[in-house]
Amino acid sequence: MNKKILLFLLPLFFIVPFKVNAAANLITGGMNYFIYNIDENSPTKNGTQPFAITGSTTVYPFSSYTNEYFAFGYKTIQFTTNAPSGSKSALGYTITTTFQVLFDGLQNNMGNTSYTGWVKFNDGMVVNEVSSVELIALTSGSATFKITTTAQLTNTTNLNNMTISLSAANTLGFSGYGEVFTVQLVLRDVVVQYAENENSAILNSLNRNQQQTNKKLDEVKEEQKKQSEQQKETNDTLKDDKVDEANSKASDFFNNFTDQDHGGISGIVKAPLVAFNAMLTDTCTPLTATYEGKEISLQCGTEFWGQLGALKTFINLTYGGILCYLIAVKLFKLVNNLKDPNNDKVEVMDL
Amino acid sequence: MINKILIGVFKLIISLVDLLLKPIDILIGNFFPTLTVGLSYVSGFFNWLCGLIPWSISWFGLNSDILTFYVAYVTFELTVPLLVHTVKLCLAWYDKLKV
Repeated sequence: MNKKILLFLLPLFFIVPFKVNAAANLITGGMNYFIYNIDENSPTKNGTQPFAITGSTTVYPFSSYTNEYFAFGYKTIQFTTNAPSGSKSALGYTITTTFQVLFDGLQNNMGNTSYTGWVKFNDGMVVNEVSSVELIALTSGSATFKITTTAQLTNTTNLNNMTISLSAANTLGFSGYGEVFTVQLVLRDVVVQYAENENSAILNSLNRNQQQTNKKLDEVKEEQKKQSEQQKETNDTLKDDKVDEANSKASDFFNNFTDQDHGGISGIVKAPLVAFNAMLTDTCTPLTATYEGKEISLQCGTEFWGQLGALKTFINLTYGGILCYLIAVKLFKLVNNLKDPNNDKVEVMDL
Repeated sequence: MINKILIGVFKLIISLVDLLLKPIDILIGNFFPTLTVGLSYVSGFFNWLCGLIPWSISWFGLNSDILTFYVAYVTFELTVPLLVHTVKLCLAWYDKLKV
């Protein structure tokens, strides 16, 4: 059995090395892996450090078909990068890339296969399966997959030798018999997105939230302190049996009183007095009102009476005479009532 | 002269009324603030009516001396009888106590 396997594998040792086409930016490589150098100083933007491996390699299937299935072994594409420095300390990263499988003139049967197990990702510390391997294009001669993987780093100093290992050993199915064909793996548009800024943003956000929380706690403490002081002051006042300042404090109650305030009950009670006072003191001012945007003014009667001349004097005498007569009559009655010892009626004003 | 005396008397009475009623106003303001607002509107309406008095008088053409005389009569009517009857009451009490 072992001999059969060895015989089966023997041709591969001769065929595979001659069928490998190295990428342009290949630095070193071996039979089953290539090493690319990723420039850590490549342009960065918003925490993204993009780079691409645009080389390709052709892999000859080192296994012949079995039960109508061809299989090819692991293909490792290794690229290296240094850990970002300064504020870009990598706490995590996301790698997205695509790879293509090209084959010669054979029908394929790849549509209903799960491809996640094909790809392993090694960030130098841990080997992880990638998050997803998605078949994004399938033609008669090629299949294109999109690889996405995300990892969280706990050690920021070891972001070297990140490796994507492609393996389609068991699941890549082709229909056809006995034909030699070429499977070409093209790893392109590799983008490593460091998540340090995102995590930094999260940390900053957490810090900001913590600061706001602390600030609110300080405000609450300050308010509690004020309330405690007020309560203490109240308790001290209640316990204080000194009455020396009672009179002065009681008299402070009237400090804000003014005789100009006409509000409340006092304003209503004083209304007749104010009316009489207005008869004696106030001078006439024209009445104004606004109607449909126009200001209407009702002038005082002074000008009207001023134009009448002698007529005004006559009217004044008439008014005055009648009024004086009525007042004299009422005064006479009033004095008579006062002289009457049996009369205790007190005149009040009808409000 | 009479006019000035009357004005002084009215201002004095108004101040006294203010002094007497202000604590009540404050109590109502503290415990029934909305009632204070309502009373203020009523008081404001009276003040507005009082502001119309000079304008009305100007159209009646009344002489200021006549007005002063009328106000003096009203003041007399509201104060002197009360004073006289108070004296009478005191005398009546005195007579009863004497007996």
